[in-house]
Amino acid sequence: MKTYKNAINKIKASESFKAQTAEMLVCQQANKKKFRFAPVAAIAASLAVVIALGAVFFPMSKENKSFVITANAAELNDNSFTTIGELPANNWRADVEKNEIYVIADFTLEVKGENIKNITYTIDNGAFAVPDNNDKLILTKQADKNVCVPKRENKSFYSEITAKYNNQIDTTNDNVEIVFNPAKIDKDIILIAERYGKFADVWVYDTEAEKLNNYQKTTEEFFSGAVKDCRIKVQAEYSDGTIETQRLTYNADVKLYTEPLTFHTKNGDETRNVYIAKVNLKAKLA
Amino acid sequence: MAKNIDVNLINHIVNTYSDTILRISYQYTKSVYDAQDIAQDVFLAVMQKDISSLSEEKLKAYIIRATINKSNDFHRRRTRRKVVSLEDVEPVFTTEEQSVLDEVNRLPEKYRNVIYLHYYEGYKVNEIADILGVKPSTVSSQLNRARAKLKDILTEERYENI
Repeated sequence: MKTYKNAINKIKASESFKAQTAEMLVCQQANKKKFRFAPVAAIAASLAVVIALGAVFFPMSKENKSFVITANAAELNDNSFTTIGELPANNWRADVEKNEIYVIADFTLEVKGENIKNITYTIDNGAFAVPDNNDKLILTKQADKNVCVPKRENKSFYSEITAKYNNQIDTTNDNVEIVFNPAKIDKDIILIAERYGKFADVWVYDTEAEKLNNYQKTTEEFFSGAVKDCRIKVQAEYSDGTIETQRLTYNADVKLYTEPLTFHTKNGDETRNVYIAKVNLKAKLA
Repeated sequence: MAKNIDVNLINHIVNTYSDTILRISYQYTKSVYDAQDIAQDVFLAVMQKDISSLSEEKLKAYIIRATINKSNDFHRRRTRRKVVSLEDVEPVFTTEEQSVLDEVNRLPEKYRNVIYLHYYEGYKVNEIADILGVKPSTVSSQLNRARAKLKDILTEERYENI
């Protein structure tokens, strides 16, 4: 197998690839967040303020709504976007050649009401990723083949899923995801994906104010562009057979914050401030 | 409190395993750029795991398995890395090398992987079985069939020299 080995020997990683990969992994370690987000005290406190103020200035007409929708324990309203959690900043893909983009988040929706039998979720411009071993959900419609979805081991993609009210999707255990696609990929959003990628590679070392402003703006344009076209229809079927429907729409904003990081290198420990983008996913009733 | 990033560990993993990952994924993609894409996905997945307790042997086995899985799932996409260095060019094979690679690449994917792991990485049948999560008898039969197919395709002289 001499010729075979000689050929394989020629396939090698270049020094620049290794350096770039190591830098990427350092960034990833610095920006690592738990994928399954749970409301932390700060978010829960700020949500409580938002909801309280909302109730005072924009009272929800609950007499017209028999059920409420929560996302990550935050009740959604139709007046303003509510922050429902954080998007992992690296859980996206853009394929420039195919003009495809997707962003992924955990499914955290829950319905609360009375006499509800089933809840059906239907998604436009996206898909639900459901584990193949799921025995809880009724999977009514597979995602259209044109929907841009990631390769996920042991999961399949659906545009409509139904859960029994008394056995709703559990964020921690059921591992269901929402895949967001923009309705139309403008050349601009693809350019943004490329710029965001470029900034994400260099942000650790870049402290110039102008570039930081661009990074925050670019990241926000990308994520909000990727999620804003997604619509989820939530249909509650009551015990008496009647049906009520509400719809959700999404958005995202980005905050930059700094954090000290200590790098262990062969020359000793070095601490620097790095800038990290926190992408907040938001939702409201449409 | 500052987070701790073990740059030495990251450098060690990237330097030690980049070639292996590229060699496996290149046989799926036939493109250095796409193989590098897969390699970065594999490294990202590895860094999500707690690898501090794994021996180098177990870590390498995990990386090989992850590379095969990611290569199987491969579809053309762009990652955040946009700039291709001048160093990242396609390898230049001799006519003979290209011919042998083409014949090996025509084998079913499972046969290609055992050929690579046995003849290039030097793993024994039991070790390959552990890495791929199959029975040793399966690996033996895949190796024998791969050799038989290569022998059918190549002339005797070329098969002896492969």
